[in-house]
Amino acid sequence: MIGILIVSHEPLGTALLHCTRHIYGRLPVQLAALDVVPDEDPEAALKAARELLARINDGSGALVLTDVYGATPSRIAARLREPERVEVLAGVNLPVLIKALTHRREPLGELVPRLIEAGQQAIMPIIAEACSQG
Amino acid sequence: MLSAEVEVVNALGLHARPSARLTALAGRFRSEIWISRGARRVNAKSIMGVMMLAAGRGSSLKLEAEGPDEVQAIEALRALIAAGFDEKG
Repeated sequence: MIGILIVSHEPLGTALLHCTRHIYGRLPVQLAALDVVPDEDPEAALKAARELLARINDGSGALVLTDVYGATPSRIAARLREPERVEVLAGVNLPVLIKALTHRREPLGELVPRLIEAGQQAIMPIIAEACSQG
Repeated sequence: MLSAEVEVVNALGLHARPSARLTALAGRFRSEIWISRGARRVNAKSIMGVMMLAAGRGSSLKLEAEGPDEVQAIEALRALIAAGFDEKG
């Protein structure tokens, strides 16, 4: 099962973890978050990220989700990438995380394109009547 | 192919947590299962699909199943939704 690590600006990653606990009624396994604090030493954060990654990766591979491409957390995340073993995806949001948790038994190479599509589809205008009752 | 109609009765409707429970239950059956609300029809085993229904309290849902355990699937899902996902209110 693919491990999932969120590397993001504080407190997004842990907040997303709390959301999954709310949705599934328990915290999914092999899921972790590293909140990067402003002015934190990137090398120290990288070390912490590697330790978390080792803890959630059972050998099936891992997915690192980060928030804004180009920002410090994403640059830390980028250094975790190992082709075909650890993939990194920017633009994390709750729909992407739920999708990742649903499909984490699939091969990493198939999961990534699926998540890109799901994340893009999740961003949409909400039309009032779509959420109305009846 | 079997189908059934069921109304969403819990106060918050088919929000994230019930969607997770519904898709987990649907995933236990071998049959293909769909849920529709109005013109939108989704795979009942897909949590993102189910949430796309945005079904609030009072919404009418149509369940459809096709496969070796379609009878059990329809009954289990209908019961879960009709029981308001065991949520309060």
